[in-house]
Amino acid sequence: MKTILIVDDSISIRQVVGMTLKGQGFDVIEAVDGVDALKKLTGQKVHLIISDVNMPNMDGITLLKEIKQIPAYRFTPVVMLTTEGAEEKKEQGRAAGAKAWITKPFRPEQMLAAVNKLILP
Amino acid sequence: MKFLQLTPVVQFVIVVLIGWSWIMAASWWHALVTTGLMLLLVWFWPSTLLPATQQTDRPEAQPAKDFLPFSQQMLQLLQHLLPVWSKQSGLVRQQTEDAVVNLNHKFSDLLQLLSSHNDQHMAGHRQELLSMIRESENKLLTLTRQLNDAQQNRLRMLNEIQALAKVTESLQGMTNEVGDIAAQTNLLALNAAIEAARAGESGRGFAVVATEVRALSSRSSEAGKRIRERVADVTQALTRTVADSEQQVGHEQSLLQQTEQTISSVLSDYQQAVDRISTDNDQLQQHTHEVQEQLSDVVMHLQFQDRTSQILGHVVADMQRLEHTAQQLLSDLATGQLPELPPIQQWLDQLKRTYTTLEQVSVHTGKAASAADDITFF
Repeated sequence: MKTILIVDDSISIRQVVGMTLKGQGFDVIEAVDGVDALKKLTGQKVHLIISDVNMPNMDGITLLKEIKQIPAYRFTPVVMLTTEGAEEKKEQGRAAGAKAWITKPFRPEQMLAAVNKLILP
Repeated sequence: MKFLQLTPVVQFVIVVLIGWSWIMAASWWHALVTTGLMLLLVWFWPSTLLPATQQTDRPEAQPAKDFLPFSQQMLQLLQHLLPVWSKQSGLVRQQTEDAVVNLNHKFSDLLQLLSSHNDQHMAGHRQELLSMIRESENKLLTLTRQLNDAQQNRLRMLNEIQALAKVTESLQGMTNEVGDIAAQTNLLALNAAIEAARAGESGRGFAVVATEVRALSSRSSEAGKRIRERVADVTQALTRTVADSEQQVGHEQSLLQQTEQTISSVLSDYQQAVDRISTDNDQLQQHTHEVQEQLSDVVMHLQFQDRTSQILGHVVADMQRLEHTAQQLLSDLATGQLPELPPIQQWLDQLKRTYTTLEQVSVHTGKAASAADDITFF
């Protein structure tokens, strides 16, 4: 079973993303911010990461840069899921190595299409 | 313009309140009404509170001295009011989050219920039912084939019995022939006895042979008669057996046909029932799809809490900034210093930098937001 890590400080977003992915047979792990996400990544295999941008303790772009420094997760696809729609923010995400940028609110089928397209085999 | 005659602190407070009303207002006309009230306040601002430079016609007034208590009162009001607004906004955020979390739980349960009746599940049941009917059909057809084979065997046996009946007919002919031979032999023996008598003494021995031959002929005739009687009995029994068997075969043939018709009718009923169930399932699946699409919309709308929470968060943070500024101004006034206000544009720009959604920027600038792409792949 493929495992996906959801990083968002909003419990309702973690629930909605979790509901969407679990319904399609994915295993889901949750983290409340970037620091928590780095803790959750150690010691287990994650096939894809979905992260918010604006979070306390460690924001999504910093988390993305940190993830790219971990050898085991260097090639793991990261999808940014955020209310930020400005092009300069998207450019920051692209430069840091994100594979996709989804603007909230998302439609579940769009989220699933992106996940199925990007998830590692 | 009277606004320009006010002190910078009052100007700042009024501009911030007007700006605030546009950010917090539920609609544009709410903001317009609030702005109107502010302008009326400016218009009817007590002249005694105007700065001294603007009141040259009233030299006896002491504007700075009069204005000080009001400014202090206004700042104290803000200092007390802003934490309350901030807490109330926090309460809204918390209550909305709690409600959405509960709603999400409910929708998660609903989605699980729906997915337990998904297409594959239904299709599996239908396939199971159809294969069960096909299996029953095969078993019943095997049974009718076995019955048919038994019927064929019985027919073959009937043909054998009929052939046997023909054999008995030929046996009857043969017994008649034996009777004829016995009659002929008897006639020959009689003639031999006459010839022996005519031969006199020398024919006496031959007369004895002729008598024995006549006795044999008589016994042959008796045996032929008994055989004919037995053959007649056998023929009669065989005829009865053939008639009974023919009747039985006819009856079984009709039973077999009835059985085949019944099986065919039962299987047809089953097929119709399966078709009806399939149609119902198709409709149910269509409804399930429609409900799932609706739920998908709901899932999208449920994300409103995250956006409103962020917007309220930015507003609350700005309230706290205003509160700190009011506190600073009060402490400046208390120490007799002339308060130094932050430039309004700088304040608004700093607020604008905290925005995360394009809608917030649109509300702030009054320009229509360009729609962001839902998804961008890099």
